[in-house]
Amino acid sequence: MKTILIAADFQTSRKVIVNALERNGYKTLEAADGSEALDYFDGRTIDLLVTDFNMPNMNGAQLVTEVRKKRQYQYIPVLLLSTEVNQNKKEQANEAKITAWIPKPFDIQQFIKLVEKSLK
Amino acid sequence: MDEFVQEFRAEASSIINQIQESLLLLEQDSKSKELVEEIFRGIHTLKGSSRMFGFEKIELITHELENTYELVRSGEMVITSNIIQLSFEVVDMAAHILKGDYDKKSFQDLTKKLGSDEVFVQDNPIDSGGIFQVIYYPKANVYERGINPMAAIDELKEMGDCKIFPLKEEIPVEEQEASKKFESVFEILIEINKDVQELKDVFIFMEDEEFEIHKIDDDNTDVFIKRANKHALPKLTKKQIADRHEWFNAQFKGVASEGVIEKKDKNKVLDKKPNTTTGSPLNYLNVKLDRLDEMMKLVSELVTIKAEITYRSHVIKDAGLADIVERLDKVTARFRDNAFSMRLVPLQILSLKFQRMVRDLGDNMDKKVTLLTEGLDTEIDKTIINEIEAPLMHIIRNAIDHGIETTSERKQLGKEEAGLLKIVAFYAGANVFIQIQDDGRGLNLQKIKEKAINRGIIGKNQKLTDGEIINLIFEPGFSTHERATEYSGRGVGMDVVKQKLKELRGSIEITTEEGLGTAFTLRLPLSLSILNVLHVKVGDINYLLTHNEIERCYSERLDKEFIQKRGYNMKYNGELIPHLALNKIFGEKSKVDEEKIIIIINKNDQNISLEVDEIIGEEQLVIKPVDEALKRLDYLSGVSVLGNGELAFLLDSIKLKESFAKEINEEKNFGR
Repeated sequence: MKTILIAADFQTSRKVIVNALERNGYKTLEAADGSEALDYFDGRTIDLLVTDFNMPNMNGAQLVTEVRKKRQYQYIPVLLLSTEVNQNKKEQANEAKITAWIPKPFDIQQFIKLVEKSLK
Repeated sequence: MDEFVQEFRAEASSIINQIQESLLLLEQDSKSKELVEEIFRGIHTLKGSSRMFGFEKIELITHELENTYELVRSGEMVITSNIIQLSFEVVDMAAHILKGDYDKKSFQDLTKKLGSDEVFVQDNPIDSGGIFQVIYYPKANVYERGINPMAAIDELKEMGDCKIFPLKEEIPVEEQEASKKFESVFEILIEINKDVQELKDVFIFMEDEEFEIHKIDDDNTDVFIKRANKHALPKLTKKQIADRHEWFNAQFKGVASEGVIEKKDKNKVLDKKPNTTTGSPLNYLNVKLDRLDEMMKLVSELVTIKAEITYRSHVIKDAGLADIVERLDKVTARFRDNAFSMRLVPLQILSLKFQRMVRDLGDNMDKKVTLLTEGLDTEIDKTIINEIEAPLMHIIRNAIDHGIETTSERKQLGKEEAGLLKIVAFYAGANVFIQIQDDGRGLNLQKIKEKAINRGIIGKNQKLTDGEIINLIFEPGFSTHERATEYSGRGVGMDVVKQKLKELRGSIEITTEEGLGTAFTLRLPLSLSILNVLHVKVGDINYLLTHNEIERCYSERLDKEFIQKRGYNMKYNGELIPHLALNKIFGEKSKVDEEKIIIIINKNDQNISLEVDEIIGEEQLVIKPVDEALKRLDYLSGVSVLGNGELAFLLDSIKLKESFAKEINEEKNFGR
């Protein structure tokens, strides 16, 4: 069973994602902001990171950059959720090397499919 | 508020019909943006107004569907057969909710389906497939994005028949994986029967500059080989080029025998598309049927009064008056015809139901059926259309169920894959003809004969002409239905069809040829509702006799001995014919005069004599079918509401005779 970390500050939408993932047989970890999320990357197995872009303390791009610095998690797949895609954000995200953007609002079924794909 | 709800129902029904029509078209042309737009607007309107009028269930299911069409509009999804099927289910459910007869379980199942993945599974896309060339060149740092570049290749392998050509001198993939630096370039030739979107989905994590997808069905091989060569390092050898040719030709041959013909078929189907009706946008008005009924009643009354005036003017013998009366006569006749024509509607209104049935049955039974219609602008009285709808549907169902063969059977027989169902309507003389033809198996006379013997309808050794054998299917008890389906309820067999047509004073004929097909021809009289009748009275009750069946009317004194008898044989024109004293048969209190009014009826070459109390006169009246409660009195073949509000019953004299045959036979001993 794969483990997915969800980092998002808005509790309701985080819960929706967590529920959907659990219903599809994934184990989940939750974090409400970037630094809380980073703390999880302590050697345990995390197979996928789903993170919001806008978060207090550390935004999604920064989180990913930090995560990739750790040897164990260098090549972890990352799905980034975001409302608008402006140039600045895009650059940050690309530098951070994410696997895919997920623009909000998104369809939960499509989301699950992406998750499955990214874990292959 | 109730009034508004009524209006909402009518409007909602209309929208649902429009959506259905658009859906049927969309199935043939799944890329049409206009149709998607139309359907979206319809669903959107339906959703909004159903909320306003408290039909939350309709709002719920249309809401989900609206989301789906929104995604299609924005290009994020394409129309698939799943979506179309679901759309039909949603509008069907909405129609049932409007009528108030929806099934709770089906509703729950539908909402569950709408909320699940199913809608978004892009399988069975219509208009799909082909041969594609994919050039795949992920960037060197692809691993750093958490992507395994070979996963895409694995996925492609599972999608269809493909051949993978590395275009660059390879470092083994394992080494690339180890060094986390990707350097390969791949060319994949693949044939799929799914939509190209599925192909694109494989590369969903790739950036645009990392892959190319090209459809190459129509290419000559040089084009795509050139493309490959562009990326190849080193350039392609002759052998490598030959390999590609080989694969391509092998695929293309396979695809061509299906794909090209499929294309042709599609065009053919579109050519054959229904609607040879002279389709000018018709201006129609929705009128409540009971208003029309009221008008017909008034017309009847007017015609009756006109008859009285006519009679009077003959008595008065005034030339001036006679002139006026003649003009009145003409106008009244035209008025009556015009009023009657208001009840006429074109057969076209059943067209949507035909199409849905053909489509749904074809789907369920795995048969391809092309529906052609001709002359659906032929107009028929609304009542008749309501009455023949069920028989027509039954015949169509049979044609598709038993007549038209499965696609594989048809292929074997050298017939076109899609069976043909043709519905033609036209006027001829004083009748309307509706023909339902199919190019299927035709009726198997041998099987019919055997079945009839099994069911005890005919004797084992009975000799029958082909025509008689065919007519066996109209015998009650010939077909039994173990289960009622959506289209054929219990008790709808060919015998019921024939009976219904008889009630409508029509008939049905079958022509068939084994292996070639069958044609059902229904005949309906044009002026069904309005009949020329002779209005008579027996006691206080009004009766009507079909005018053109009456041979003679006269009065005579009966011998005392026969005054009490209800029926006996009477001498007429040198033969003995049955005589029915209606007043005694119906138990009416009648005047015990000695002079009786006799009416001689000639029907089907049989003469029958009826005795009545009074003849009122010749009239043209609207005849309606008899109510269920009276159906067991089978000698009443119709009822009319007179101008003065009284009811008058149309008598079927043959049935009368049959009902009282016993009496008459007993009386035979008296002779006369």
